[in-house]
Amino acid sequence: MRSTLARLVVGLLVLSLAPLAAAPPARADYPDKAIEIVVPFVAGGGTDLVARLVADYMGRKWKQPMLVVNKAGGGGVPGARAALKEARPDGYTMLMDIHTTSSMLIGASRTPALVLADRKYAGRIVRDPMVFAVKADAPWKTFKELSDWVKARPEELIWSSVGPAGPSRYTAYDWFTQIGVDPAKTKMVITPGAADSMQKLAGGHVLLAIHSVAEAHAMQQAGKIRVLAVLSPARVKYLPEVPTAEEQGVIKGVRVQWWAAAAFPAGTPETIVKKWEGALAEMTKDPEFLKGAERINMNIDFLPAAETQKFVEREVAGYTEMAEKIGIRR
Amino acid sequence: MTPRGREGPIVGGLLVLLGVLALREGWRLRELRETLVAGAVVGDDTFPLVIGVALVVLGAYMILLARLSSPRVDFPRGRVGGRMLVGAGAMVGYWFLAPWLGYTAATAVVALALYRGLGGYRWPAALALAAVSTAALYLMFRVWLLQPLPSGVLGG
Amino acid sequence: MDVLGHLAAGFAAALTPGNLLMALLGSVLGTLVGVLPGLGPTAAIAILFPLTSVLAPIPAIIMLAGIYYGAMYGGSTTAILLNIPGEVAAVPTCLDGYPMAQQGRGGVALGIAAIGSFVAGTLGVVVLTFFAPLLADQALRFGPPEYFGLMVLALTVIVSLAGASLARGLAMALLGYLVSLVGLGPATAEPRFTFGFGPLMSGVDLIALVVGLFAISEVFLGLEEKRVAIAEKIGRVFPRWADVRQALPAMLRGTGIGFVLGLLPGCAPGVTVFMAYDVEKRLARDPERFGRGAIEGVASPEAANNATSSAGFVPLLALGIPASAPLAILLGGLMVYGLQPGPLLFQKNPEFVWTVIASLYVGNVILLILNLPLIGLWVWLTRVPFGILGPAILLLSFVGAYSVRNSMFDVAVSLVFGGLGWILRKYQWPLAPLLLAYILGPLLERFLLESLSMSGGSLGIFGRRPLALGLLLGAAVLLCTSLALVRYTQRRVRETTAQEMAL
Repeated sequence: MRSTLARLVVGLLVLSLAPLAAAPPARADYPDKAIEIVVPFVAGGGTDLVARLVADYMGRKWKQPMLVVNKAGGGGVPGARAALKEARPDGYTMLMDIHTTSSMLIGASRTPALVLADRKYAGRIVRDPMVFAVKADAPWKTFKELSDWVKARPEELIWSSVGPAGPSRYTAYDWFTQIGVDPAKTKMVITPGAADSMQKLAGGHVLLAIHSVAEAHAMQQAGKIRVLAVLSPARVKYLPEVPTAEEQGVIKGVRVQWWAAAAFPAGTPETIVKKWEGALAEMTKDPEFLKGAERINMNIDFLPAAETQKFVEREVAGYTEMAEKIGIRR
Repeated sequence: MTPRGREGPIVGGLLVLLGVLALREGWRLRELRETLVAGAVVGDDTFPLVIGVALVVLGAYMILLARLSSPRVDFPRGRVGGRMLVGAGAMVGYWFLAPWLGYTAATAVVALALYRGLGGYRWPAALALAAVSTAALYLMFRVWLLQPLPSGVLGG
Repeated sequence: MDVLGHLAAGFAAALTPGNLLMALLGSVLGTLVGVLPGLGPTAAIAILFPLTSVLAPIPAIIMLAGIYYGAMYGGSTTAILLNIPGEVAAVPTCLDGYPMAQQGRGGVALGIAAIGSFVAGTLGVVVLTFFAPLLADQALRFGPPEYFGLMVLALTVIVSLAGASLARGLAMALLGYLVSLVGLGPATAEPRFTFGFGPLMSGVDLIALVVGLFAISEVFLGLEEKRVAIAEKIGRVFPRWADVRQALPAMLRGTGIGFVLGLLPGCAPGVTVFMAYDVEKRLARDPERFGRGAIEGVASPEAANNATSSAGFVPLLALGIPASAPLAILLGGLMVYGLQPGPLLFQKNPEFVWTVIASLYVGNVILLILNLPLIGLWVWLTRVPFGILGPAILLLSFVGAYSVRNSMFDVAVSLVFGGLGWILRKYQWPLAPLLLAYILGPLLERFLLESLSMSGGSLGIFGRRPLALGLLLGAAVLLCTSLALVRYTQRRVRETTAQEMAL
């Protein structure tokens, strides 16, 4: 009696483990199972939204689930490390890599937790330029006016930066040095995120905020803030009426911008990365995908793998130099 | 344990230790503050230092002055103590097993250990409960919700 | 169209069978996941989010809102019956809900929690309906100095959460603060208290902490007490009229506090529930009843919780600022569907906004009629023998701690805090101050640093801004009255029981 029960129970246990036995895959065509897209930041942020958009498209294309996995905290470093160094390099773990976890991290650190050689890029997906924004009823109508005012009284400028060494700080540094203002004289308020910083700007608690187009777009559309300049070689389609900083003769060159690229661990098979590169190129031309990107105000700007690599290398050089000069390179 | 108890001195001592730790960390961060954000009056060191001082003061107060009336506390012995040890051991084992065996297999093993050791069921019942729990968790998190749980060598 | 016209159109859309079904499904699923120990609203929304992506935007958001509300309620169920809060917002509910359950009044506690949630949720949505765009602008007036004042005010609550011994409460608060400091510093992004150990850079996760301190330690405490079922008799489910009358003012106050503070982005339910509980304790003629099954102690924080949740939709929809983690995920959801929150949302997508608002009303009603009859089921869950419940809680704690950030390190953290929580609870050290300091600490620090960088290091900024000054003075006054109140309570408790109160 007891043994019958025991047998039944063992049977149940075996049954519950059956899916495990079925799991070892007979290497078919990639991908033959779910792919994890690691986002080293919280759900709902810019990186996360891009990742979800990609997951949605690729999931439909390859008929395999794409899991967006948020591993937030620690400035994105632990999440990026988990994807690039701790995961198996079998093409089933992809990192949504951005400046914060790559070029900026490497530039600001003498012994970075991750280096460029740790990843293989399949391609850049988004390039989102930075903008200079003031409150809607601020006295400055153009970027030139603001720059002149800051030159005259730098100690009155209270501006918000996202994190102590984020894109806003580098952008501001470039601006201050080019117009001849000592950055240390201005008052920098370090905020934890773009939403928070925008709120401070709209409430008049800071005078200037520097963000990416996607981050600033909603408040601008709502008429709470005025965008004075965009830091880009050419005007961007989401803000066609806003002139570039160079157009207004204030800042030359573009060394800082928000971007997102698909990265794989260094040991990932070349064929898989190539397959992704091709799929991403296709994706960034797909009207359905572009419509999705427009909803989240993301400027889709595809760059093939090799060029992404070069682009990031250039950025590393720029950030290394700026971090050294600002005094935050350690 | 007597009403005056050793609790005050022990906890007080721990608090002082933690306080010293916080002060040391604060001191280290203090030097960084000025180099990273020029002219900053407060920074990442401010709160560790404040907390450190508060911990030391409170710890000293507990050691020297406070009369904490300690409740009587009995630690489990015998069978209950054994069960708790098995439970705690199973959870620690779970942590080591999951990345290696994969979530589902590790859950099956640990569930069995828990129902048998902590729950006190006989083997057949424990096996049945473990099978049901594992199947339920597997269906819910792996099949239905597609959670990225550790997969391990078995891929499950 | 005016507000009522919009709202009517919204209701027409929300009440279509399809949308109604989504609201129902969301509420049930949310409650189900929320009831699981260790899985709170954040985990519930994060886990269930992918499921909604197969739906069209409106039904998907309706379902997500249902999940959000449902998980909130589910969390209070485990708080009352098992003394395990799914997240911080349910901690005050434990304080009196669990004693009520032990006294065989668990059914009443659950009923009051359901009614409180309903009252607050509905009132909250009414205010949301008529004042959303207006209120959003007010929230912007709160700058770092004002927030700093508010956080100081909230921290004074520690004194009354400390129980009989202020020294114990302060020690726990400092400990909580110390834990919250682990991770990257806000001003330099320099690792603090990580001692070169990589995983600590991400800090100690809230869910891992709560799961460890409450869920895991609870299993071991329960094992010692040889607890078979939590409450032998659960008692009647529907509260008596006298109960409701006693709880109603508390519900209304909780609603008020929860809603007003909930309008401020950054003031998550975790903050307002503690304040609401504290206010009740202060107003009560016999504060020593609190912590041992006072019905107001359940009604008020539950109401505040739900009111804050509703109020959180105001900054979310009107400004695109999420007030809490689950709302941040909801925001992501909205954006994926191309609905950029902001004042423009009301102009560009009125049918969407008003359908969502109408479905919030519907969701509250569904939860009420769902939960009152289902209380029996939840109660049944707790009657499960401890030999089954204990292992099940442990197994779920593991997944719960893991799935927030998909990190094994978080699981280790929850195990460590499980052991620590067990010892602390055995020696009757209060856990509530630890949690409160853990949540408020980083905010306090951030707002102080922000304020002082605005003023160039001068503390004068708090004097120049009347609202900030008022809040700080209010905090000072509160501190004095709480100290007096604690003395008084302490004396009364000693007189009656010669025992100490603890969480």
